[in-house]
Amino acid sequence: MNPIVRHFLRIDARSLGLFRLAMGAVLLGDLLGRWRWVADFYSNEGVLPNHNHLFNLRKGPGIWSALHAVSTDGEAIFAFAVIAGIYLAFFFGLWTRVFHALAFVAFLSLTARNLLLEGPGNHLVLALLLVTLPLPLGSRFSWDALRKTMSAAVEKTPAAMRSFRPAEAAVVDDRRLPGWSPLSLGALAVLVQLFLVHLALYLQHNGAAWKAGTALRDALGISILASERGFALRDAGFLGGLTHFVHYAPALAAVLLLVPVARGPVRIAVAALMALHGLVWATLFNFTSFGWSLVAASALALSSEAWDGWTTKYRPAQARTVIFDTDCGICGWIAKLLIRLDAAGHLTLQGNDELDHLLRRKAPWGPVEEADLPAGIDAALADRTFIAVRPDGTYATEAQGLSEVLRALPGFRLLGVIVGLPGVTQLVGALYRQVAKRRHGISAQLGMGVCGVPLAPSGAASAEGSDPGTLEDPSPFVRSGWKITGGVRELVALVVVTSALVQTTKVNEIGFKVPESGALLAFAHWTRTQAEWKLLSPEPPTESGTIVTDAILRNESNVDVFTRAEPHFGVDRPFTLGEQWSAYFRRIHTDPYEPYVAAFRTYLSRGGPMNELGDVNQRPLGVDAYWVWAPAGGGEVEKKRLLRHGRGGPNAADASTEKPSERATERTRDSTFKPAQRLERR
Amino acid sequence: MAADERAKKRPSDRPRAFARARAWIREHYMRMDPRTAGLYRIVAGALLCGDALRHWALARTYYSNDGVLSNHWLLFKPTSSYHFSLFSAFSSIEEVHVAFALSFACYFCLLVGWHARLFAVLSFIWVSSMDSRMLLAENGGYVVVNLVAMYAIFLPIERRFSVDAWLASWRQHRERGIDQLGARTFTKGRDEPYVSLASLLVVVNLAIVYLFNVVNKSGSVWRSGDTVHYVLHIDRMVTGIAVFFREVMPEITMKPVTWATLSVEAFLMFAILSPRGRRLTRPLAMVGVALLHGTFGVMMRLGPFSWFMIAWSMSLPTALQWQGLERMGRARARGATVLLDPRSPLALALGRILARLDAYELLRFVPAPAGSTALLAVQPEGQERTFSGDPAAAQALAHALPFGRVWWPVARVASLGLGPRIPGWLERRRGALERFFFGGRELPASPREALEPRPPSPASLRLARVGRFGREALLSWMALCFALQAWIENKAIPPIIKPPQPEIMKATTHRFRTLQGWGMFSPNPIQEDGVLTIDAYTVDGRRIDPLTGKAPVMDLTIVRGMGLGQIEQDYGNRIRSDRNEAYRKELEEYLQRWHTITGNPGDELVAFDVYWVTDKCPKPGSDTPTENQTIAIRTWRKRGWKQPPEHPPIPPQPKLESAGK
Repeated sequence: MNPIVRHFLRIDARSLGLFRLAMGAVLLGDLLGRWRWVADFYSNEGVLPNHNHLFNLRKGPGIWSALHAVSTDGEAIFAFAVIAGIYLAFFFGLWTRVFHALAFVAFLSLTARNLLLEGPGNHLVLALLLVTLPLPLGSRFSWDALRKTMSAAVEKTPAAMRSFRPAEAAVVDDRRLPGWSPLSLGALAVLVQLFLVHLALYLQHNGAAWKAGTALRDALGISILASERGFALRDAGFLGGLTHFVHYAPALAAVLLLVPVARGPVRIAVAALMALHGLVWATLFNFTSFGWSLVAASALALSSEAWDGWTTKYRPAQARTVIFDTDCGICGWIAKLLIRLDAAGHLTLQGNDELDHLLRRKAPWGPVEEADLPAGIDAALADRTFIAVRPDGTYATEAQGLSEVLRALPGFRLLGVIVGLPGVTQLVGALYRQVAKRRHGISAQLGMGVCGVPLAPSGAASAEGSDPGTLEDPSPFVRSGWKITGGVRELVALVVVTSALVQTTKVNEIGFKVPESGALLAFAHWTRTQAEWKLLSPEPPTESGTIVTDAILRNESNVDVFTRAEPHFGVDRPFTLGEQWSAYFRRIHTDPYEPYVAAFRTYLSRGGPMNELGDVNQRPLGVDAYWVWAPAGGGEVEKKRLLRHGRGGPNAADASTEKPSERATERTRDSTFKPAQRLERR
Repeated sequence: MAADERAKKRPSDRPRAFARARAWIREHYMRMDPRTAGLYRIVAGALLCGDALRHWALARTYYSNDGVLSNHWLLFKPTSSYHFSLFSAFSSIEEVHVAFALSFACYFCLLVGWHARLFAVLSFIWVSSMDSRMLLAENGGYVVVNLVAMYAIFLPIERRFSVDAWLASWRQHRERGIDQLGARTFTKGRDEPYVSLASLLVVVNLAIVYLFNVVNKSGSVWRSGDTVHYVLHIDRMVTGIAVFFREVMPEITMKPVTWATLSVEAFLMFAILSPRGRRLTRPLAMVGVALLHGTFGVMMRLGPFSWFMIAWSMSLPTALQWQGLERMGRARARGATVLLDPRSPLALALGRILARLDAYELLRFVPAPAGSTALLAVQPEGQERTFSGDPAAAQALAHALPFGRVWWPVARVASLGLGPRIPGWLERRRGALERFFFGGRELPASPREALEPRPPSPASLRLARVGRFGREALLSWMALCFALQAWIENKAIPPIIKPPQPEIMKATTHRFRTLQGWGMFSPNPIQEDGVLTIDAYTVDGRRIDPLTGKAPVMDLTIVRGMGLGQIEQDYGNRIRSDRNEAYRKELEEYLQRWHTITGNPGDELVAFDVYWVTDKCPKPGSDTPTENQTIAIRTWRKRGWKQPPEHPPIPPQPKLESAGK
């Protein structure tokens, strides 16, 4: 295959699989973060009831979220549980295509349910899920691939297992076996999407602070933008260098992504740049999902050469002979799995009924040689445990043996090291002995062979695999089906990449514009792939601000309902509420979001986050909410009242010192309405 | 002494008696033939598809934010407790079209039985969501739809007559030679009865519908036999057929028809539940349900009620009926010997298909003799001659298949005569087809052993047992909730013996609208007709009712059937009630933007009054309604509008009144 074509039109199935695992983890982490605030953001008890959101959106272009159908906090929790199930299935690669699409719909629903929480992280996650939709993310490292692989595992004896060879790439591609990845516009779309994100990030970081290397220091001083960790590091000495890294890394990554030569090292460099760049945003700022998505996306940059160099490298010292119980069905199943995971050819399998000699190989999948059986290995030992024999004739059993085998497999080395750690070994060993004692019973329970019954499944339950006929060339009928699905795939990829181009060049200043199309912009709008890659662009804000609530509770205590401590009218403390509240606070005090303030007032009237305590004495008699701000470098703190509920907070007298805008004054007047009346007035 | 003996016997007898009772219930009510579940799925799926299309046609007016009730208003003021509707998430008409398309796809998958259980669950969620999105148009029929869809989840709907069953048979039982086709291992255990509380619930719930339909009808009009007369004179609900009948039926026949209706409903309950004579009672019940509800369906605009009641009755056939049907079909079918090329994978595939269609096992498959060039040849039973590649071969095959003599002529006509030509086409295109489907491969001379499914492992059997326990536990809970709901909701139960309903049980029945109030036209039928009329004036001087597109009906006494669909007439009947006043503002806003929906600027309304027009149905012996009334429930005039003199004058705004609680 032409290397240029391959560079632009194909992504290795292992990269896709790794991306799926990473993105699945990002999605699950994101959901966990949202779960903390499920009632506050996603139910009618929270800051934005579904009817209020839909009402406010009624005149604009359509926004769709399945979560708009959810009203109570119980329903919201149920919906979150369903979403968690979808994400888990996507992570493990179960019916990957279906759950990939559903994961996109689920994240879209989370995003569009409350537009005040939306940020670049949402856009990036959605863009990545959408752009990879035409690609087979479940082709490797997935339950789907495992099922397909193991259903084709027809070896019935250790000798047959020793003669197993991984399918060649051409055969994998021709028959679409696990590991297949197509030549597709989808791959180009991924490349274009990653290129555009990095290009836009670089070109729009064009302010003086970025050039002077002070941008991160300035931004980390803004508590609402910085994570707690980032805020603590706001004066660290390395921030100057890190600013230059964050500034130039995207440019370098964008350029290197397009380099079609030396793909192994170049792509590893790109992946490392992307991952490190993402880590900065994820750990130092309240752009958590954006940062982690970039880390996940770095997997997509890995090339086949990089993978091959890592997974297929044969190290003679890691060659192992694995002696296992041939009468045990589950042992045979694991043995067949091991030879399929052993991409470097380190393992030689030997049955416990072949103990006349030690069988070993000196080259990957090379000829099997017979050697003397090391002293200490006998039928009794082989019956009690599996044995991993090293090239020098020493051997390990039980947990240590497991550690040895895992370290010989690509991708499992770290796990092997962990299993070999003192303490862990003893724990795993105890577990192993319990399983080993019951292995025949477990095999029988799982319907696998026991005591001489052939290892391979004999029925048509795994008919695809057990029938060697299915390994023959696919018929023209099957290939026609592939062509049709391939056509659909390419069409989807074309729409996605064109939409990404149009939207990105429309909303970002990157020096060129692609002619706009209403349909494609609507597509980008509906899928919330808004592509606004403007983080601290052109430079960090010059003001630091946050929402402070001043509530008087029934027990006469004066608290900020978000911190549950006395209100602090300043911006010199870290912001501890996380990414969603950060986005919400930055929006709710601005003019375009004025219609959402009434619902915020109702939420605060119930005690805000303190409502979950369920203590009537902790309900507010009156609340004032303020937008409190100060110049980023420090200076006089100012505040303006955003809303008032009831009699307001005890610090209301201070309002005489504030500089209320006209809008705030009007809201104060309007606050004579009770929340319910306000809603009625819609 | 005798008392002592009794006391001694009791502890051991009680469990035995309980076990006997349980076994009896299990034997008589908890078994369902998988073919019954398959039939139930097909009929329910087809009706769900049809019902979805009926609602889809009115999507803009009743299900989108362009219409009479926006989703944000519905969510702000839910029309019921425990409101939940997926449709609430869809705002614009385009989004609503997507929602209907998705729901239709689910119903269609249920109909054909592809991933049937999954799509049964999704179908239930979609159909109950569609109901909850527009509760102002709900009637008892919608509840029936929800229940029919819900029961499908728990029945073995995928085991027969489904794509799932076909694929399972095709993939798990893989014959690899012509002589293996006769074994028909795929039929083993196929029709074993399904034992579950679901089988009991679906039938008992159907009987309860009729039980309460009888006992709730305790009013004087039912007793005097005048119900049919009144019902036929409800212009809001009747069809043209009903109008015809009310005009030609002698008054003297009305009473017997009324009492007959009540008797049939009472009979249906007994026929459905009868543990004896089910060979006869169940078919009689099905015929009764079909006749009763078929009549309702063509006479009244009740929406899905009648047709889904018929679908529900498809849960009634027992194995006896299926066996009888099989005997009848087998007696009319004629066997044949099918000769297939033993080296051709195409012939083997055709043989596998025919073996699966051959429910009576009247086809015998044999390898064609050496030297034969035919792909497939048929020798009908009792004939010497063998047919290959001609219409006679197709006909002989069709006559061996279930009810082939019935459907074969239909298929010939429907296929415009192409059906009989299929064997000839197959023979002619044999080479190309074998290359396309099988890559030109040949079967080995001595076929390999057939592949059969591995027996389930003990672990999977244990897991299945846990799943069954969970299912039965859920069904028990639902049975409890439904029983209490029926007790509380039906008018025949005196209020004094109605216990309070725990919230969790209320949530179970209300969230997906699986209610249990069965009292259509009870205790007396409606004797006061009524219809919603919009008396609107357009900017170009027309007077029109935007809901019908016709002139407003202000006098109901002269109407011979309104011709309104179920959704329109039930919406009108609900919006007039004072308790639904909160939703009239939405109707007003819809009327104000009506011209933007029609796209005709001339349709802009400058004034409208919303009336509930009502009259008294004629008394028995008369055919003239009386006491026409127009009750204004909403009025609006465009601010600053002056009606041009050439246009009809706009009347002063009427005084608003109550049109009923």
